[in-house]
Parts: sequence; C-alpha cells; structure tokens
Amino acid sequence: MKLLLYCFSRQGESTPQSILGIDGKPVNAVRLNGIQCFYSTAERYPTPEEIISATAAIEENVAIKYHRVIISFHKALPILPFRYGSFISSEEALSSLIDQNTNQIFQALNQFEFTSENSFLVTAKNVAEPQTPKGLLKSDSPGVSYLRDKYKKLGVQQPNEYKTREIESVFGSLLRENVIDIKVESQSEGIKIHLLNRKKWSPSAVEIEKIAQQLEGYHIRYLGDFPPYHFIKLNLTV
Amino acid sequence: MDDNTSLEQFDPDKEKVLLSDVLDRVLNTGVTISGDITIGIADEDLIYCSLRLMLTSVDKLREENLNDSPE
Repeated sequence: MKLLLYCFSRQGESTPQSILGIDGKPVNAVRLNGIQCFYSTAERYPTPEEIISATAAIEENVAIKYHRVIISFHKALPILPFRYGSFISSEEALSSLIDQNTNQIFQALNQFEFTSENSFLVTAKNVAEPQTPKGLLKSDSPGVSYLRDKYKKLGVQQPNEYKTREIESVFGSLLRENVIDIKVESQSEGIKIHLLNRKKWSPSAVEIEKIAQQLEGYHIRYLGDFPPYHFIKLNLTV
Repeated sequence: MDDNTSLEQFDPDKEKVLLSDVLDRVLNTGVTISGDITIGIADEDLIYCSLRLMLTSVDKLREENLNDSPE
C-alpha cells in the first residue's frame, strides 16, 4: 500500500469532507507541526498508458483525475499542490517528511496563502489551411492519429510571430491591481501566461475582452484559476 | 462559443480539456520530494520526455513541410 500525496495546507484550515481522491478513494490527512498533508491510498503505481492514454479517453487518464482532485482542494482552501506521481511509503514516512521540512513548507504556505494562478493560452490567428505533412496519411495507428491532430493544431499557428514582451506587458498593465507576478512560457501550442494573483480572483469577461482588443491578431483562451503551480518552488528532501 | 471568437472560456470539467496544459501542470510543476523514502513512478520522466519529443517532432515536421511548400 502506498500513499498518493495531493497537497499541503495549514492545520487550522477546515478539512473538506466531500472531496474524494482518485477513483473515489477517501482522502486522509497527516497533521503535524501545524501542517496537514492530504493523501489517498493506492495499491499500485499507474501504468504509462494510464497517464498518456487521454488522447483516446480523457476520463481514463490519471493525470486528469489527479488534476480534478487538486482543483477540488483549491476551491475549498489554500493549498500547495504536489507534482503528480508523488507517492510515499507510509504515514510514518509522511510525518518524517513534514517534520524535516516544516520551515520550508510554512514559508511557502505564508507566501502563497492568499494567492491563486490564472492562466491564459495566447495563439496567433492564422486561418491558412494547414497542409498535411508528408508520410502521415499512410497509417491509422493511435500514435499517427495523435501526430496528425497535433499537426493540424500547429498548422494554424505561427509561433515565430509572437510578440512575447508585448503580450506580457498588456496582461500586466491591464490586470496589475490584482497581479503580483507573471510567468510566460513559450510552447508549441502557443504562449502561456500565468498570473500570480493577490487573492483568489479571476478576471472578468470584460477584463479579458479588453486584453483581447489590445492583442489584435491573437486568440486568447482562458485556461482557468489554479493553485499557484508555476510559482511554487518547493523541493522537499528527506 | 464559435471559432471566430478571439476569446474562449476553458472549462476543465468538460471534454474540451487541454490535455497538454493539464499534463504540463501536474507533471511539471508543484511541490516535489526526493529521498530514500520517496518512490515516484519509475517511468514518469521517460513518459514526459517522450511526450516532449513527440511534440518537438511534430514541430519539426511542420517546419519541414513549410520549407517544402511551393512559393
């Protein structure tokens, strides 16, 4: 039996009774030194197929399931989420982990207690019909289908045309009252903007529309309100 | 919301979940632990690396395709 770790929070925060772990497993907590750590039990590690199979069936993907549990916690109380795949051998081992890293965990809880992260995907508008890459039509295997779909998505974007600093500046200037920090990621899908907010806050449709108006030539997709994933730098050692 | 709209609302509870964003988030960010008592998924890094390579290879395909396109 292993423990799959979800997140840390302050011990004083009320424990959300209604949250269930992956596959409906009950969520338990180890509480020590004013910190609580939520987990559920797991008999085995997920297989690689269970992690990346979501191209075929999103509902079966354990990373998506884990994400949904984390979002449930995030809606209920301030948390520091674990990276998926953080298993530990026993409650004793978890207690030891908390005990040896209490100061670090508290520091992060203090830093991020009232924050949340809003993320956006910015892609360039380009309506040119993508051409099918050579050699991709001869097979219908899942891998080829995935690549074909991916290619189609990429084919309507022009990553080289992104004006990253301009985009970052527009987000920062229009939302600065609520935003503490901004991180920009340039990826094949487009540019991702992650905003660290002073409180649990989400931009209104009007605010997002203002940004869209200033970024002519780009699509803006609001990805959601998350725990401050991209700003937490907490590597615990035992 | 139709395809012509520049602003799209993402709802993680619906099927239109952006898989790559969720994978990026839950596999690449968040609190990490390391040490003798921690046992991760043996192949996690490999899986993620494979996914990255796949995405990179698609980018490369796209690039080559554009280069091959007639003027």
